[in-house]
Amino acid sequence: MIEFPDGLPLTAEAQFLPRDVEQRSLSGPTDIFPRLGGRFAIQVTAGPFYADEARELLALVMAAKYGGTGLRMRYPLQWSQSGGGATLVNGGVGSSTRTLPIKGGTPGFVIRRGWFLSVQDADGQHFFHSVADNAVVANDGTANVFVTPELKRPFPNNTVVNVAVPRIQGLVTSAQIVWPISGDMVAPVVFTLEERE
Amino acid sequence: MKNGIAQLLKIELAMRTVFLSDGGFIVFDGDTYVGGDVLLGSIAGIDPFEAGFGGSISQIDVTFHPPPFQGSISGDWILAAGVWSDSGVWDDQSFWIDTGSNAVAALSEAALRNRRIEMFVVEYDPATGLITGTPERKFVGQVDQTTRSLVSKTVGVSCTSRAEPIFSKNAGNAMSHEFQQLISPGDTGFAQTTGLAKQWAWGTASVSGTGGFFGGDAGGGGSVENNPNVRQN
Repeated sequence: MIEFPDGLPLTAEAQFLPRDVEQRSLSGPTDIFPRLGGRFAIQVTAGPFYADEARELLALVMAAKYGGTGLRMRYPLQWSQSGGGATLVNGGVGSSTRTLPIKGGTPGFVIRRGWFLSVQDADGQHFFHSVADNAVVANDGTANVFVTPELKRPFPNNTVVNVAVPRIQGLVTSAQIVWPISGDMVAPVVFTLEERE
Repeated sequence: MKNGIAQLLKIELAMRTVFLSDGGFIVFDGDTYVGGDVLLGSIAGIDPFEAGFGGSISQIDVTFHPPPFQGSISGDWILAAGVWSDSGVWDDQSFWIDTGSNAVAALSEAALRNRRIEMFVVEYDPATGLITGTPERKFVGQVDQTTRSLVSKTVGVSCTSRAEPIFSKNAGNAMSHEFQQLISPGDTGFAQTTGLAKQWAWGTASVSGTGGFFGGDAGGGGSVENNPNVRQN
């Protein structure tokens, strides 16, 4: 797994890729039936960099693409999600696949609707989720966070939950890696990263 | 909000049972179904169910994408029972696959053949992820054959009905060398005859029973003609 460096200038377009089944009937209303396995993707345009600065990043993205190694990057938050506690962890398997029980939080801290978090399993794989509703950390440091989409696995107790710095991990799915070779020596690095599961 | 739909697949291997969903995880009947398995990988596709009529048998084909085994486990060996190790003994209750590029090659018939397979379609409440209503069992069968493609890195698994054993049709006495030996030992007339096809049930170690023009199965005396699970040479 290749780590995309933190702190680089970039613009991005994040996407949620649901796997719904849409039924358009001849006579009646249209329906959408949810299915499991929705995931996130992010289309990143990093830079622009001077060409000499871009080359290492370009090699890194190419390495992630070639051979399907995959890439992990910090989700570019436009607000702060820190202050909830040094390390939030999963508090065990909940009864619902959309509820992530956490512990170790700062009492009173609110994990807000629309925030993002990533659950990091024992192999280091990050699973990215959107927070579907506000969750207030109780006095004992626990909270139940309602997430979208469903959790991908029944994560064991003490699995790390990244709220302050969520990361998105997956494969570089762009068909090509493209970079300009221009007279002003300025090059953006463009790629699409999609979660594997 | 509409209920969600999920397909679930359960394969009972010798050492453990694989529970696969079509994405995410969901708990059904006390078992946790997940999107991918450490051995079989994920479901690439399920071909339409083929109903059986007359002498043919119901079957369904499932294609798997074996796991890529990236990252920390690359290059290790995995025991199909789910125990990680670098060494071990081979026995017919378990088998080893290389977690590198040979995973597809090693994931072959021996581990899967005749294992029970079940498919369900369930509805779930998207708000909770819990199953609602009555799940439908769509198929109960057994793994018949596996085919593997090294080019596309897929493993195809054809599954037949559990009713397969009763598809052996007993056509009575047959004009064959084997049957002739029963009534007239030493008569090699049929053995000298050319153009007779011999058939035997798929999976048997050798030809036995009453092979011949009218066919015969491994149990002797029964014909397996019209049975698609019969190998012919």
